[in-house]
Amino acid sequence: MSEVVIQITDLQKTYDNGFEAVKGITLNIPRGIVYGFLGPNGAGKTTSLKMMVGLLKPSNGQVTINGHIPEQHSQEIKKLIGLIPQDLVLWEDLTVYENLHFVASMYRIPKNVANEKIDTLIKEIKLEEKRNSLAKHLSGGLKRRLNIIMGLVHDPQIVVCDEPTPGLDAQSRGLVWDFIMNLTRKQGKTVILTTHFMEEADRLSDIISIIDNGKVLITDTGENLKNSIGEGDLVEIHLNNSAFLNSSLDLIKTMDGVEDVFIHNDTLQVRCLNAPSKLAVIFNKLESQEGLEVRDLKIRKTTLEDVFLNLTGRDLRE
Amino acid sequence: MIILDVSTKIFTQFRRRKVSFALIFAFPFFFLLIFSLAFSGNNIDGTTTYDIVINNLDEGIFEDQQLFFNGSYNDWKLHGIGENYSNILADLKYPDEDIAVFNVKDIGQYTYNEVFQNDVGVMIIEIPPLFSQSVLSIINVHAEGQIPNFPTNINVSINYHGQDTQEYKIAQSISQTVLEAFIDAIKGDQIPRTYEFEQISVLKTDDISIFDFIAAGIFVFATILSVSYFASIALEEISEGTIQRLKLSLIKPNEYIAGFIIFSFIVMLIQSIFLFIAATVIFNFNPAGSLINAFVIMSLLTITSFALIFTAGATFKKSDDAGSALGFASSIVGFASGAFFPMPEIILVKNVMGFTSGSADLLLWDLLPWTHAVNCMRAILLYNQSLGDVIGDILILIIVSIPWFLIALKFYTKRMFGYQEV
Repeated sequence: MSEVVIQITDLQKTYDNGFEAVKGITLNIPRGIVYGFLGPNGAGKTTSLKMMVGLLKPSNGQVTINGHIPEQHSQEIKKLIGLIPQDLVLWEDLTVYENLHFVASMYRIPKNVANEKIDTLIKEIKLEEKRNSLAKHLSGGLKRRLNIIMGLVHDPQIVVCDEPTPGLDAQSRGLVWDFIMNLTRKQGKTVILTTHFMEEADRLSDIISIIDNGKVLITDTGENLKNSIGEGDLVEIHLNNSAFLNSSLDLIKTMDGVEDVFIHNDTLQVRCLNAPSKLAVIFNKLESQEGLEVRDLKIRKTTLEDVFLNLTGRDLRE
Repeated sequence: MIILDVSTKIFTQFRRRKVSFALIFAFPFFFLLIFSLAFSGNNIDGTTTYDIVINNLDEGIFEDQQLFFNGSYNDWKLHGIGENYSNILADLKYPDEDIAVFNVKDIGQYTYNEVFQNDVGVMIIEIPPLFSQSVLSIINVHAEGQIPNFPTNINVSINYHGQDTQEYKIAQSISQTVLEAFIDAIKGDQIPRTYEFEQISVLKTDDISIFDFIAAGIFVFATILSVSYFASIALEEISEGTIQRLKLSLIKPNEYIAGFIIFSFIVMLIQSIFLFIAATVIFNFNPAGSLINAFVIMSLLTITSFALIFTAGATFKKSDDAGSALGFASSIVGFASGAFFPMPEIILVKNVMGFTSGSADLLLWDLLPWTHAVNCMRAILLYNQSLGDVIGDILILIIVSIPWFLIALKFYTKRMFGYQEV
């Protein structure tokens, strides 16, 4: 494992009303990777990030960034960190170019250096044609792209992306994902990514921490996380009558080679290795029950969502 | 540089918002227009004779100074040069009219309060004991070589007392004009004499319309009104969330705030100039006094404006809330400060405000710094008073505003650049 760039020790945040948003997070984030925080709404992801970058004061615990403690070395840390906030944080009455230049001046970047950097960023995120448009006249997707590069004007070594792609269409999301991956792969930056999109976390993150109720539940690579709940395929079976779900679950549970069986969204979900070879046996078992018919069936690989739901449960949070 | 970048950024946002121009320029212009249409033809009676009371405490000249005077020593000892000034006022007539400006009465047995309670006069002129010596001192300073037995460095001033009425202000303004002419005449003399001014150019109040009276207040009201707009700008970074970017950048709080102050100060001054020009050129506002002095008052008033802006910035959560609340409050403050019409007297403490141009009593409205700005603007623009004449009001304006400004600034800075609120 490479050098640790962010060290978080027992980070806690309790609000004045007594709500514990973060309940003691300890993490070591290595340099030069995308580190994903995956969690449901209200899990404590954004609160943790805000404490990391110095926007929120922790109730307890400590964050060390590149050896600097935020409160003691805020100027050094400010140069190191770039924030891509969850909300669109733009000056709506400034043009794309003016927004970026103002940010550059806030970091005391000389104008010629800023010009070069801004031109590169605008080109990479494909905003060249909109450089003189007012931010308020941009579409939601273009605003989101501008929001991203505004956190990168000062060329930070650590980029904190808080839910960077909500509301983006497939093409824009792909562009942003490539852009974020390039930050680590080509530029060697460390990216901390929070998201509740499983695919986004799976595709982009080298290491993922699943966080819920203010605690880190597990930390590993995406592949290891998926393997941790059982290898193989997931078979989703829709029955003609949900009254058969529990009896079917009992029947399948006893089959050889079945890793796990559970009910989700009124479907029977069966996890097993090489599922196609077992489909005939599963059918026979199910249809041995009088009146039962299989209406629909899907086979897919185990995803991070399965891991996530397995760890965080299936109840609505908000 | 970073400060100017902040100012430039806010100015760029400002010029791209139509509402900015409406609030800063169009809205106060509209007030001028309405009041001009309503009141520009209504002139104040120009040839009123004002009842005034003189309390002459002048101790006159000394025996060794008598050689330089015509008349007997005893007369000068008894009445002094203060008597001369009193007589000038008593003899004063309106230009081209056979109407006396003042009906001068002696203080007699009246107390100052009884003068006003019994409607004996609208103003009491108190001539101080060393008035004659002060005049001799002025003569000595301007004489070619020092005059034996004449004093130097004696400087006393005549005190004017009155209630916060227009009659008092006009009477005071005329008396001061006469005094200035009297002093100017003395400076040109080598020896003292008895001065006579049968005709002197004094303010004829029929030159003043009710619109002129209100316009002076509207200049102040415009700054109160614009505070709601600037407060919403001051809170915009918080309500829009852009403060996150500023907090994480290398900008220091004082740099951002300095940039905001520079922008706002310039726009406030441009607003004042715009309104002065609009009032005089378009609405026939007829200032008797110095527009430059009025501009100085408006510049000082920006301290109060910033105090209120930063108070709102430290208090409200959203810029729209601040804008709405201050927009409403500005109308109340505008009326309470007397910007439109004189307010009824609600006395808090009696007879402690003699050094200001308003009532000698501390009125409820005196607690508002804008009241003193309105007093200054009227005294300067309508009654041709100097900054020195309104120094009492200027001092109150500054003394109230600066501590308020500093406290509000401290809380606003903490709100803006402290840890995020949840």
